[in-house]
Amino acid sequence: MEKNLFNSAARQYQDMVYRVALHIFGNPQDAEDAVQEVFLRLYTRQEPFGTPDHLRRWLIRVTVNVCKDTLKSPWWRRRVPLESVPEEPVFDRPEQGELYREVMALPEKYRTVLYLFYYEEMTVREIGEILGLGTTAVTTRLHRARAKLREHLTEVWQDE
Amino acid sequence: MSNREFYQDTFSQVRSSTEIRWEDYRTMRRRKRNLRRVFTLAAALCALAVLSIAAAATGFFGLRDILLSEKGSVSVTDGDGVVVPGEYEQRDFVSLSGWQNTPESRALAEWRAFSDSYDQDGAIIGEIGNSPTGFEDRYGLYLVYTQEMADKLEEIVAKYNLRLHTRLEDVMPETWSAAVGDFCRENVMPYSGYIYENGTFRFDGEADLEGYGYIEYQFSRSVRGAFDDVALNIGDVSDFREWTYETSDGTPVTLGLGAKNRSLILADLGDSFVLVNVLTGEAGDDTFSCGPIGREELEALADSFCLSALTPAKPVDFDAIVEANARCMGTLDLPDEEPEDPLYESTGIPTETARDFILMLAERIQDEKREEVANLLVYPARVEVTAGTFTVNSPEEFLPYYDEVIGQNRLGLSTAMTWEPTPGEPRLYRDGSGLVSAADGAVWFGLVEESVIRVFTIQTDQAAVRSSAPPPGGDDLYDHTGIETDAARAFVWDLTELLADGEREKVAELFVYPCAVCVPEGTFQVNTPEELLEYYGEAIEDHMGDLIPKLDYTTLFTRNGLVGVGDGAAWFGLVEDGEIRLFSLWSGQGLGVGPIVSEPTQG
Repeated sequence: MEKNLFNSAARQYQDMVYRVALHIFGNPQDAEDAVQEVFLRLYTRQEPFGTPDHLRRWLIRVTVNVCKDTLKSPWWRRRVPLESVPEEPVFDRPEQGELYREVMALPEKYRTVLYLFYYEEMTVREIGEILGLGTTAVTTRLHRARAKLREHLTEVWQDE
Repeated sequence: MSNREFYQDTFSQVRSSTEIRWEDYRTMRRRKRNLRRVFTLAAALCALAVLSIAAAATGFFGLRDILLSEKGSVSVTDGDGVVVPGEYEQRDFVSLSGWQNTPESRALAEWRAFSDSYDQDGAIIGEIGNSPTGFEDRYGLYLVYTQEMADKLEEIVAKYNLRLHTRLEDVMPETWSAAVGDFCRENVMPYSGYIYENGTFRFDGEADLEGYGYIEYQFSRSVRGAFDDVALNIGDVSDFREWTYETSDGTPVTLGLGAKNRSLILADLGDSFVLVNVLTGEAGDDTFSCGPIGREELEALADSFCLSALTPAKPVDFDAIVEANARCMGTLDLPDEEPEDPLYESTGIPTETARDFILMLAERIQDEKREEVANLLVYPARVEVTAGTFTVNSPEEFLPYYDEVIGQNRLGLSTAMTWEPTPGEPRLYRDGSGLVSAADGAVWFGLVEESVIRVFTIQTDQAAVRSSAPPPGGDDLYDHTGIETDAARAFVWDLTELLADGEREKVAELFVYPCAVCVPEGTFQVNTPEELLEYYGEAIEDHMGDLIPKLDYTTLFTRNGLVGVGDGAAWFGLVEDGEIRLFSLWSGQGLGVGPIVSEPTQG
């Protein structure tokens, strides 16, 4: 990919790629590794993107696939139990730290769906396409994840 | 503040700390290739801390025949696997390229002797760092960073008449079949790996062995004629118990069962050499596998690969690999294509039509329109009710059973068929048979002729009606092999009879020639039925009791355009004249007749 476009994409979407990977892995170290791998793939890509949204969706899809591939690796499986508790970012408000901890405490399948729905504002169908799930499965995961957050964040998470 | 705003406010404060710059990737891509090269070594080093017991080495081609002449120096690790600074020990290294007297392995030994003594303190490479060296174009797939190294490499490849690798591509797990063919059986899962332009490839993978569990390995296939600089640390060669074995597809292999947590599978395929580094052994732990293994498990793992499918090594179609990779990663640009309808792709019925059909059927069942429902079934059909199983050939014959199969479950069936967990999302499934399933598998329907949908199955906990007609998916066997299922079954039936009747000449006539006959004395090439008959007794007749029960015509399956029967006891397919011919026939002891996969003893 051409240099200016690449650096522009990195500035605009690096944090998004990191957040997707963080929601899948649940730890910052592997998420940072995934960021490197995803942008390596962007670097080697020859075909142009039609629109910025096309680039954004491509990056999300590739991030999900890179992370899934890593999760399947025997080397990763072996290493995971040795990981320490992930470090936590510093947030503006205490309730934001609570939300972060509760989300990170959820199983991976709930975290990823939550992020794509709430942060990236994707529809259930779009999430299903990216994760290779039916809309029923996405809806179920979203419902259960919301219920968990509602249960644990009674003061700050609203009924929907 | 809504939940969405709360979520976005929170996670907008979570940011990546990695610096991503285009300039860095120019060198990172190159480094990544080099890292891969040492990956195999690093993995071996982790687990080969202590190897102790000795084993008998035999005279056949085995581990000692792929040993590199010089031992390698590796860092010592403590009991926790942590490297002890400044401490090194000598280990045996083997070539992944083939026996030690081949040009490829001799070139590797020379290159290692040179590179191990070159820039030992790392002063030169330390000075170069990640800067471009100018050697990337020709030597980008090797660790070459000075003119002196380049000159030495050129000298070695010229001396042994080898080529340098020119291109390498990643291969995604789902892409191996497109890249090199179907050489992994169903219990084997290859992970991502890489392939060179000449077909040399490597990947890590996992296999599920019946009665044992999962076992992990690293698979390497090195195609002759190119220089490859990878060597594998095996610890101490005397720690391996070795024996020869013939895999289920007739490939002779050498197996080395390690005393600790490493074992090896070697196969010389003629134009390439396969080495599988198995990540467990006789004292293995459960880090990479389910625990220790013995001979049986190692042989089962060897049988998990169809090594004969890897030869002859074919030119690599990089375009196909890149496209297949992109498909796997979901990165193909498909925005301009028509929206996909997977149901239509596999059944010929658009989702919307299937949905309308199931709603119509549910309505008729609920309204007790018995004749209309009976008319929608495909006949002849089998009715399974309390009184037994009966065949019905028409709606009229089915109606007496209607109440027991459908009527008493009327409400449950119609509710299950119309229940939609989310608006606009009918619960429709497909299974590759060409049929559509609804109501959690209670109802199956499909096309019987163009544009006509009929019901093949309605089943409940109490009763069922199932069509006896073939599903609309057609003849899967024919699609893959050109042989109709009925013809394939008849061939197996006839073959079994000929074997049982002692019709030696007729059986010999069925094989494709030349072929390899495997008898206790060795493997011999035979070119005619007459030549095969000289070995017929030892190769086939002596094992008839073992062989014939395996030739069960109900167990047909396909691979690589051939039909297999009974776990691969026999393989047959169409030949040029349109006749069905036998490609192999194996007894349980690895004796029998099969294709020529390596240099057999001349008969």
